[in-house]
Amino acid sequence: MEPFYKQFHKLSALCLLLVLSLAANAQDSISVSDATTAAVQEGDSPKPGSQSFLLTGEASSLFLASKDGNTFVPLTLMLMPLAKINDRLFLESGLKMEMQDDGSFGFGLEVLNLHYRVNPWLTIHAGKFAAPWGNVLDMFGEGFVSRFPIGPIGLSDDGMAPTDQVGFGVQGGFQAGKSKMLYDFYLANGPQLMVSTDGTSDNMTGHMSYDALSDNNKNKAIGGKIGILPFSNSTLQIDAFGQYAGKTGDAGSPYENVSSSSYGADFNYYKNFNNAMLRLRGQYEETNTSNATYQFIDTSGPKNYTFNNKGNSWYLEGTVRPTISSMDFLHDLELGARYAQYDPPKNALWGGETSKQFTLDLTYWFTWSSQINLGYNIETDAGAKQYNEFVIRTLYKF
Amino acid sequence: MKNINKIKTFSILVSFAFIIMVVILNSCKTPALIAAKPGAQLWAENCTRCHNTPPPSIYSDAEWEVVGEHMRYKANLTDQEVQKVVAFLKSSN
Repeated sequence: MEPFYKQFHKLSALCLLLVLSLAANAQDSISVSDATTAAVQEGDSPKPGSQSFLLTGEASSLFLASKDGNTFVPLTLMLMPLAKINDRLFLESGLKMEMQDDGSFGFGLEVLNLHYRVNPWLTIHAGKFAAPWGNVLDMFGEGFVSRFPIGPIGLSDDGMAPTDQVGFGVQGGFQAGKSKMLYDFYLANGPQLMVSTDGTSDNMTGHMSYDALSDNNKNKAIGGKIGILPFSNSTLQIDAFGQYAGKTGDAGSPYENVSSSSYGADFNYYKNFNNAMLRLRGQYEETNTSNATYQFIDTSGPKNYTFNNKGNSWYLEGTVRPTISSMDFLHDLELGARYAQYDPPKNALWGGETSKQFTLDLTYWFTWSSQINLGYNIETDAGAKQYNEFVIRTLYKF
Repeated sequence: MKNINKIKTFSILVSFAFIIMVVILNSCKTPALIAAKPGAQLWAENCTRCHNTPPPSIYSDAEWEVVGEHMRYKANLTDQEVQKVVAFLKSSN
């Protein structure tokens, strides 16, 4: 992950100001509350404020152990200031703080999104938001929602699919008979083509960057998802999503007209049996980028090359949690297994053969949302065993 | 490769057709039982979609207002679901 504080310092500062202003407002509220209390004691009716504010978030840490060594990974803190300004306006924000490998402190603006509810089934929103793109990054983006200590390969920040967006969108959900429908469409700056002449595997030429705040050309990306919960008890959700950007290269560069299209589908299902709760989740996504001729420079000089720039990834997971047991301890355990696969473009400098990941997890729930995960992760590349590792994650939701 | 693209296109079209069909068929029925669902039931059904159900006591009334609104956008809850779930949580905390 790139150090956000270098790219997003302006918006991060803006968000910090926002948090401080909300905090200041909270201080004002306390003063007003004190005054109100005094007024009540004098016999007047209290007048509750119209704004509501909540500072929520989560903190997590990792421990990784393999035959090559073991290490603790420093704490990651995600703060989510949320504000219901009135019945129509709502502010959602997310600030991620984490230690970098070089010991520096990273401060990233993950979300800063203002919602305006037009009517019960239509909301307009604008800002920086997670793309409504697959359940891994969208609905299950918060760690306490995922039952696994690490994300599925190719579907998190390491993949080829849209992640963050800067733009505006419309969304909503409504009842359609016994089913529910939901939609979320957006117009955003979109992905940016990465181009470099570096001759190593660190060269990400042909890959897309999804976290830039400002656009690199006049073209915008359009995307979104539609979903359906066909059963009246909401146990199953199926989504289809896509995004298209006609231009992804820097304006005026030979790569300006390189286009990118992505699409996919996901599902989320749970079922309460007599003795246990079962969860099944899955997602497939694919990204196609139009071909272009790139150039890299090595010891023998500049060389032109091109490759078929298509990739896909998918995952399937299941978890089981006992619901009836004479032992309370068993109630708080959840066992999970997940398989994930990532097919990057074979001939890209950053690409290669199929990567496969199998993860087993045992979760112990301290509370409804705080947990410790004991995971065992196996990843292979082109059939050759790459590494096995134990992963322990502790996560506290507040 | 062309065949694969045709299969994908066909699969996508079939999926959309299926969704539209389900909606049309369901819309023909009166969802009286669904409209009458109490907040407690909606709380259990919708929270469990993604995570464990939070106990009502962890937040204040004002904070549940914020959480409810957040879930409207995060989980695409309907307006009726948000109102009923928040009312239930505020009455139970």
